[in-house]
Amino acid sequence: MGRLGRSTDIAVEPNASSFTRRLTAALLIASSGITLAYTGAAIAMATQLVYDPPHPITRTPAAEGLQYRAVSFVSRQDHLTLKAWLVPGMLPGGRLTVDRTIIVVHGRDQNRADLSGHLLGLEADLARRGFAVLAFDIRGMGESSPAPQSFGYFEQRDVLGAVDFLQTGPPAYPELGRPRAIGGLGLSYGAASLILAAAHEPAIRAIVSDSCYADVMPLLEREIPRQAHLPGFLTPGGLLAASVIYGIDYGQARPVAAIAGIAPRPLLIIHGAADRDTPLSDAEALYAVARSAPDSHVALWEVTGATHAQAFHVAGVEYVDRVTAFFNDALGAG
Amino acid sequence: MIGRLAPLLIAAGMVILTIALTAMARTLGASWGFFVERDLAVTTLVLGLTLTTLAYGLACYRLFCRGRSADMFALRITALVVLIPVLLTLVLPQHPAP
Repeated sequence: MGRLGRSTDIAVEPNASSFTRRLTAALLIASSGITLAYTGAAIAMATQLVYDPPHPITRTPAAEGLQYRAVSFVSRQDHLTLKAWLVPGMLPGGRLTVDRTIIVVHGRDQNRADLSGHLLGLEADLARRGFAVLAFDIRGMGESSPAPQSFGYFEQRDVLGAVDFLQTGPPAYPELGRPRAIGGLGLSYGAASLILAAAHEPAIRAIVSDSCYADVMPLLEREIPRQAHLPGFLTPGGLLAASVIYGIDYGQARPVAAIAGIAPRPLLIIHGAADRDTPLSDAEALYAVARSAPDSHVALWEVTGATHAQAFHVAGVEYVDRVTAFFNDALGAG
Repeated sequence: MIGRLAPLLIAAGMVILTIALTAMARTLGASWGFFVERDLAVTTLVLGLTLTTLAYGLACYRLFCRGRSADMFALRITALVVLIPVLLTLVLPQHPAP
């Protein structure tokens, strides 16, 4: 009886009212639904962002009246197979040379012929001026192995693979030997890959960067909503999903953070003054950082009237003159 | 108190596990080429997130059925926390152009 008569310290928690329960249920369903929808959209965006079907190669250097050999090599570190052309440079008297070889890196959604960027014509002009050209398809494009497109984060390994091929791979023209000097020329996405690679590969002795972005994150945050007609707040989720699914760290695809590492090697930055995809301010930012490095040798050429990656098309012979003069100074005469 | 945070803890733990498993799937699939790697990673991620959603939903339902005021309060906080990543994408500034 005494036990039953004792008071207890256990507090009885009150039950929620019907309104509170309904409010809670609504909040849970809404937040879960919104988060799930966002996650699904982010995964779909990531899948679209990193892969486009490759464009077939429809022209070869033979169309420009040049000799070439089809070669293949593997990217450094992850060993993806990359397809390429080696076009020997032409010397007076018709002799061929690979003494000075330029690695040419095309832009996004293109291939080594890059007809929209008129790259094949530029490769031909370089060869006619005595520079051999190694033009390859970046991973996931042209005839190279399928791979996610990462705006330079992975593609820098392709450029490094091209250097390895020139230095230690089977020579495409055994009778011509190996290159004495290697330079690089990149367009847009290819320029970013080239800068990221060259920053820690001293074998690339001179670099021409045409229409390169300074930092890919602001570019993607601006261009994805514009080109995909999606609200901008989906972009961070899409980039995060790409990071989880493909291991891409877009925060590391920052040529502006790497470009100072190129010094003291010479660097020529070319950019179209009418470029609306990658604004001229990106080239100016790259130039400012590159120039701030000790013992830097940097030049910036703003091509009046040129839109994105169209500087060669607009400037024509002047473009070839400037680029070949730059490589002659940097790599020595042929 | 920890019991009332069970849905949140379960969701967070399973998301972390899913991300780790996706990275493993990607690594394992890499030797079979991009398409296998991609399909394996996406499948792992989607499967993991589906299981996370089910486990989170079940944990919420069990807490909801207890019907106490404190449980409802914890569930409302949970709902807001789950929404925070999406809300952040709306309010956080984008990367400034260099």
